[in-house]
Amino acid sequence: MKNKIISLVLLLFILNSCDSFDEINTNPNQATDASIQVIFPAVTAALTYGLNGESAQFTSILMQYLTGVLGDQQQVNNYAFIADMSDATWNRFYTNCLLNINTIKRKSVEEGATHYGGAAKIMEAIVIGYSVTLWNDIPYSEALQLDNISQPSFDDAAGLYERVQQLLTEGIADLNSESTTSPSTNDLIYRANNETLWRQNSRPRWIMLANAMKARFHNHLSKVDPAGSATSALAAIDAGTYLSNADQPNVIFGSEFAGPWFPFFQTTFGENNVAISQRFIDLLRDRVDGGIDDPRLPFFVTPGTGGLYLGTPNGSASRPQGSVIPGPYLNRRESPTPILNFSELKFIEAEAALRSGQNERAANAFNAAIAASLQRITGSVSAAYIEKFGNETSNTISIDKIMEEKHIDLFLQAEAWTDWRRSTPLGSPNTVTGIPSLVPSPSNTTQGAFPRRFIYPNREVVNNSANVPNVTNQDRVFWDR
Amino acid sequence: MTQAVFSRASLGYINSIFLELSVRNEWASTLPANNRSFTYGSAGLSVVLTDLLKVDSKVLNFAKIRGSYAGAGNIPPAYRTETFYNIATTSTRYAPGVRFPLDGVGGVLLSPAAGNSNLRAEFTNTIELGTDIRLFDNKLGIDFTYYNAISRDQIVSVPVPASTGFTSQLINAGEIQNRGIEIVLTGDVIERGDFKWDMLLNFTRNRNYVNSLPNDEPIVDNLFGARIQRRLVPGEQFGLFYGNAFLRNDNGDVLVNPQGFPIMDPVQRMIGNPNPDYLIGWRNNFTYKNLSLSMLWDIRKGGDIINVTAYWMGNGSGVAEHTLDRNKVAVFRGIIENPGGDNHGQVNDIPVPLNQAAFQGSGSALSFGRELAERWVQDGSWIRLRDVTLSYQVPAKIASRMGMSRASAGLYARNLLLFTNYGGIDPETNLNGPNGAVGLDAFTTPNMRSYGVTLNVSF
Repeated sequence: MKNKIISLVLLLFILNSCDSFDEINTNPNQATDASIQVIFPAVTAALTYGLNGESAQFTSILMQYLTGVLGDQQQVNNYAFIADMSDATWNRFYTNCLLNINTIKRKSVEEGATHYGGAAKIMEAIVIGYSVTLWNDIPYSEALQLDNISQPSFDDAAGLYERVQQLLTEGIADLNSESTTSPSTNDLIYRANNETLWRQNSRPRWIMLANAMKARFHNHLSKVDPAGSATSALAAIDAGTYLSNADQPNVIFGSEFAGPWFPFFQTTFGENNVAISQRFIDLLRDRVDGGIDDPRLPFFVTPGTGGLYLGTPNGSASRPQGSVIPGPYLNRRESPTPILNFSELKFIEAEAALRSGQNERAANAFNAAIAASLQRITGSVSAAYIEKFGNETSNTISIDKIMEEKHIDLFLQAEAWTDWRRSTPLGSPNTVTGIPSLVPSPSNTTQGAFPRRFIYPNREVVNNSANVPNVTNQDRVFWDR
Repeated sequence: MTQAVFSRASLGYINSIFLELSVRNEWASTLPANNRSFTYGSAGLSVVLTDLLKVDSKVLNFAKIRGSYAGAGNIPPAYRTETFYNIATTSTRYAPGVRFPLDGVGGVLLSPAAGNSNLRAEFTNTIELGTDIRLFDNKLGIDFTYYNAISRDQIVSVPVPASTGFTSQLINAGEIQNRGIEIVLTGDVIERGDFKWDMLLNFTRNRNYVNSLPNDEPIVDNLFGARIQRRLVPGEQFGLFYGNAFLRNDNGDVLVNPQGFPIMDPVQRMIGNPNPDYLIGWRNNFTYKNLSLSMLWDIRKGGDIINVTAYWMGNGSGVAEHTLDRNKVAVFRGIIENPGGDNHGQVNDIPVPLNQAAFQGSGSALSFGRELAERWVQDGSWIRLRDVTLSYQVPAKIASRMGMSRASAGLYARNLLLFTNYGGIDPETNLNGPNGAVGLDAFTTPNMRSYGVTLNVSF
């Protein structure tokens, strides 16, 4: 046999260049490192949006400030939670807040920027505490370590509440220490024009905020530890916190942007998917007397055509013609976004004092809370309202009054749902209401049982299935018994 | 940037056996230093049987068999080995929000898409076997190909639980397999005098499997509030739809609640497979003297489509065709659920009104609204007349008399006919374009039907 090789080609190409490979793969337009001065304001913005974003929309539907008439919001109103209702808030907390807070904490130690570290710890405490009120157990000790742990385990919720208090204590200590540098105009929570003014005016207020948060999270344990939680909450208040509305954070986002509610109400989702619940309007109409509404009503909602306060019945699948829209209290670009107000702090003080038998302190704190609420929302204190509702004594003050007034003051804040769940009778089934008294949404899919917690984010359920607890919205968080 | 060394050899034996070999080594700057160099190659063998065996037949004019094995390496895009800070924006799921800088205050956040300093090149290895046969004076051609491509270490962005501090990470993930057959038949059907009819038939059957994924965790793409998810699940076909399904008993009968409405399964299940069973393209060309007519029929068998448009038009605005059933009374096919029992008992006979609550999916009709994604899954099979072209070639003599070297005139029509059981506007529409999520019809434009006249003149 004759082997005939017709062709054999051998080619060798070498391409070369003089640049080093590592230089080439260095992105000229994006940084892999950033200073705490620019990470810090971005975290405060993400935190504020996390506290008042999607989760507050959903809790406001559960609290029947709003009713969901379409889409995801309607599903929440039906108590048929959609699979990814938690993802946006959860993602923002872990990626934008907690991961970047860790960076601020690390850099603040490296650079001696202790004040940044202190404020970061307070924000971390707020995120963790708020998250536990929605989801109970959440990842913490194994979280935020992607290189080593791709599926973090979930920490026990009660332990996380202890961690929250510890972080607040550490944050206060850091703020009381010397710091090489401090925030200034880059602090969206307590803005100051320069570092000196920040140390003078903002730093003490951050400490007040931390103590107010301590009081809030202690008071959350009212069902599981009534006496201890009251003592601890009052001790936190006595340690030094807000003295007036001037001490509370009023977060604004410069001259161009707004907090989360305003842009939501401007979109088709805000316009078509939610409406002001008739129940909330009924609570405020003729509240002072026949024909005299709660003075906060026109700030919470803008009346429809002809000045009518027509709401939307809870569970309704459509919004009546000419019904009210959210009012200037939060539905303005300039509206400040709340974190924890002086009025809330005074309601906490009233509740804790009442629980520990200090009725006079409770009444005084309650009266101060009402005045602070009216002042903040309406710009003045209505004498008629004070006479009827802000004039309690040690004999007349009651938990029902505190929780109902606090509910009005907390309009559209997620804390309202936490309070309502705490105010349900100990050991009662989920069909029983708290204060104020709510009727389950007529469109409910739970045989009349109120939801008591958020479900876990779909992403976590699917990609961290080994660790995520199996829950429904009928389960409860650890302090809700 | 890549640098490469490349070498190729071609060998032939008595003009009927050919062997081609190649090998290539690359160094890529987009990979981390320790994974920068990688090698791949290919080998192909083809044998022209009719030449090798010196076949000289009126029936078998040409026969060739071929086989090849080819590897190909791929590198990630630039700057993916690190995680970067982005200008901070924060917004809610339903509305825009804040973008830094705010009145001169800058803000940055670490990207939630994690880079990866351990990335490696991805490889696809393909085995291909085929034949090329021509019969009966080259009147019939049969071209058959089998392929099996296995992609390993694919560079993909996978979702990670956000509790890690990130929502996605670029990794070398698992193994994806593409295998299938392709048959092309070409034939001269009639050739008599001035008349000629030839056709081309193209048959494709592809199966795309996810063989393995990192940690054996599925990769999930949430769509429409996670009511529908596109999941990659190890061992299953590529891109299956999961979502809210009907609750069924073990016979597969739909379970109905005591009020007479279907129930939603609390566990999300596979509700649709967007991958078609097979595709056929059939072109016919008729020529008579200077006149020619060409038409292409396209056939797709199988492939589920989720008609998101219908559920939004029904639930959101009430303008979908199925809402014409409003206020009619219906009895759902199914078995009445017997909690604690065997769920094989009573056949549903409860009449229910299709009222507002039923369309909105509230109360006892929870599952009947849009939440039950399985309701909107439909078979996307179709037969369509993709194009028809009629053209006339002006005889050269006449053309040259008019000063033209060539001239032709024609009429064409595209997407003239569509036969399908799909309920939406066009089973071929796709969210995010043809390469987006396959099988999702969500307010996308259908194929356009177009007609036209063409005039071609050369001077």
